Amino acid sequence: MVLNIVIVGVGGQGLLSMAQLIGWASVESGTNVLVAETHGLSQRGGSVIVHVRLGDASSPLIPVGRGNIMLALELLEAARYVNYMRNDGVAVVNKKLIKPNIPGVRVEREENVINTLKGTVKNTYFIDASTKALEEGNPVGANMVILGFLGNMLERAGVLQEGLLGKYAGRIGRGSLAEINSKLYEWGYSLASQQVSNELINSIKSWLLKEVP
Amino acid sequence: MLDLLKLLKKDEVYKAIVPSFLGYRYMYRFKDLIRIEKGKAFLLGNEAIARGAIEGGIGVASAYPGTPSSEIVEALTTISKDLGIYVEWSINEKVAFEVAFAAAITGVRSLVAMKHVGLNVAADPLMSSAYTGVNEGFVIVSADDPSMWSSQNEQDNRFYGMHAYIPVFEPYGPGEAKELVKYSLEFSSKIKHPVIFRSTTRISHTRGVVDLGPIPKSVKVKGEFGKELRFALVPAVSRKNKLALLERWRKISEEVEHCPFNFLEGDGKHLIIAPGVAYSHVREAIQFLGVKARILKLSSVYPIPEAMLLKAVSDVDDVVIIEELDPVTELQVRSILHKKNITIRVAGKDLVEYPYELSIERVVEVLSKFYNVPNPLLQTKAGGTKGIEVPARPPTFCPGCPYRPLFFEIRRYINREKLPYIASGDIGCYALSLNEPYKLQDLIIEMGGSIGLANGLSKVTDDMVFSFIGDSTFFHAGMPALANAIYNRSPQVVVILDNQIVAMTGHQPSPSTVMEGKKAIAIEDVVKGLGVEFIRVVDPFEIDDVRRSISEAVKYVREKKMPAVIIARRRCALVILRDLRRRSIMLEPCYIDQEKCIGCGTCYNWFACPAISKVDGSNKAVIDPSLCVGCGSCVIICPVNAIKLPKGTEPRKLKELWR
Repeated sequence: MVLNIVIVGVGGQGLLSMAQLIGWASVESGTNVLVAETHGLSQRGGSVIVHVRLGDASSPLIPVGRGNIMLALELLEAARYVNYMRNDGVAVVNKKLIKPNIPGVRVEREENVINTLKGTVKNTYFIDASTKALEEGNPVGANMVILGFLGNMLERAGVLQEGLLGKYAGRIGRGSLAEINSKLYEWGYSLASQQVSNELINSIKSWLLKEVP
Repeated sequence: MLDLLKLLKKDEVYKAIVPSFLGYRYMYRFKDLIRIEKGKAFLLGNEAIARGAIEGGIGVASAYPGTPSSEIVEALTTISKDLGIYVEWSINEKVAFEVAFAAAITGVRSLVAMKHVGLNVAADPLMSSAYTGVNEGFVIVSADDPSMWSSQNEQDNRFYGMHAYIPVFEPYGPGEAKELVKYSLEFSSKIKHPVIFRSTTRISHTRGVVDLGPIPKSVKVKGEFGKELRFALVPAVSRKNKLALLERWRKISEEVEHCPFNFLEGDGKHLIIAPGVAYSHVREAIQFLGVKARILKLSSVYPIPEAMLLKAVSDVDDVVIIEELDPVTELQVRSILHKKNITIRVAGKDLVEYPYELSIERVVEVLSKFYNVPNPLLQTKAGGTKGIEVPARPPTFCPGCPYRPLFFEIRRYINREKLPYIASGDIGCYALSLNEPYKLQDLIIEMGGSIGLANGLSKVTDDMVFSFIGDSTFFHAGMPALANAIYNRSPQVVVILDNQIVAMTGHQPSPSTVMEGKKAIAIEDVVKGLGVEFIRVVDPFEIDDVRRSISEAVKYVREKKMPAVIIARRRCALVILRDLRRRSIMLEPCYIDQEKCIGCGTCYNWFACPAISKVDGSNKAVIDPSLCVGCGSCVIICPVNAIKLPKGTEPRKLKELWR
């Protein structure tokens, strides 16, 4: 009984904080958790994948093709790691494309990336998280929006206790930054409550009943 | 509500008892846990190792930072005052080893931590420490990096145990890591012999649930040196010590038979031997395959328990050894079986390939061959990125990094002068200038290697040799190489990049870091003291000064055939940003005047800040406000002054803030 969450993005976007918050909330909800992080070189604007495994996992790494949920803070990184996902999984993707910092780099058009993701993972949600975060005054707050989206899904699926993840999200940063983060989390949370059907929540519940992910 | 929660729970409810004064239960820092003696905590593997060390009663800890080991002593620095223990960031791994070893021979329990290649630097005292033994528990943590996530090689440091007559212990996950460190300290204390605790990236950098235990109320932090003759390793003493060492080794081989972290589980006619992290993958792999197996799980990875192995093989048909990297377990297993005339089929490195870290996929594939059953993972692979191409995203200098303008200007100087050159690189963030567009790291071999290699390169080639080395790396292993360069008159331009911190590993102090309680060392004083005659200190944001200094240095090196040193000093951008955040200051992003921009590409092709990119469908540049940190270092590089500071920002005011 394992739920595999793949978190991907660009080093510096706050992926490790997301994983840590999910971990804390899971442990408090009574769920075992393993989080495999990427440190060092890959934090300097490089491609980053964090493996979060809730439940009975003993290996820290998610097998290719067995990810249940993907949280992506960047479109190209979502495409890079989409092979970690099950076809029937859920991908929550920040609609933000950051070009790799290579002179003369050729990058796919945004809609091509989006269509590929849609064609690979059954349930995809594209969210203007970076735009919202910039509007609210925290340029790197997209992670909080995506986290809010996850929080809603996992609470409805009965994996996390209600309100825990949001409580923690609101403690990231000092003063007004914490308030902004809280607001961003709530925004993501409410998006999921509008967009994610009960049918999908039931699927998430059924994944949890499987012996292997 | 919470209808599925029970299903996810393993055996029990994870109830942690975390101080109520924190106001919340699970968000805590490592140091908030020092008064907590039971319950479960969510910790990084390296924090679990640190926790094990304090539960095990260490009085001294030391380290030189290096991924994936850094967070161990990082965590310990946060609690050293509260617990009254001594913790230091040492100048390199050798000195760190010596500090902790000195404690252990005077009866103070100690731990030293380093990355795998760091143990090469400390190998000299390591070898000798087995000959002397210790008087109290001494644990050497080697954090290895299979797959080289952040390293120059993936050497398997279990071999150091074999080489040095030092037992090696290895956990399979963060929870066990804590317990095993404690056990290793006890083991070392009992046998009076050093112990290597080997971790790997997937242990050190995995967060998991850890059972907390009591921390001793008072630990020994002052020892006494008994001046025993065995500590003075002259030949006559060493010869005696070798016999005592072999006697201890006999005891060690017996003792590992009782190590509770080695165990046999499961049933079946096939035996899987899984040392260290391999066990975590094996456990899940057999579930995926739906096969039965007997598993010999090993944490004493050298020496392995002989009697336990013989018992394990007694009623199985064959054996497969699943181990990461080199066949250290396999060599031991085959040797024992051969010695005992046991003929049984043993598979190992013929199935599990040598390179890189293990994963569930790799283990499933190997076991599906071994058991001759279909591999369930192959058929369910998702589509990947079919149809579109995803370009690589190599790591790069952060926005605001002082190294970007420095390498930008040196690259421009070299191109304009058409200078034949070799850029001798080193270990640190500046290694990222390997990539386009800077391409100023032609060699990166090991810590301090830049100046050392330049000593040879400048003698055997006629190219202008540049050595690039960071402040901490210079203190670590660059100083002897520079002394050599002066004494042996090696013509090279040494650029010391002084960002006053060990940046790559997460901002540990370097001897050039000004901080309370430490005596900071000015690099120009060191360099002058070593006898360098050409010394310039420049601010890398002032690219005109950078160009002038480089040009003068090249001229000096050509004429005098001696090393010239340029110290490029400016603090790490991440540290500046942290300080600004603490003062609740958020700088506005810069922007590009689209009317003025002529689309020359200097900023996005040559300066290459991640915040600046080319506009789709035109050559003009644009700044992404969510990535720009407002440092203003790009303003000076635009030939038509199209890059603008945010409206209302005075350049002088920005200089005061961003420093």
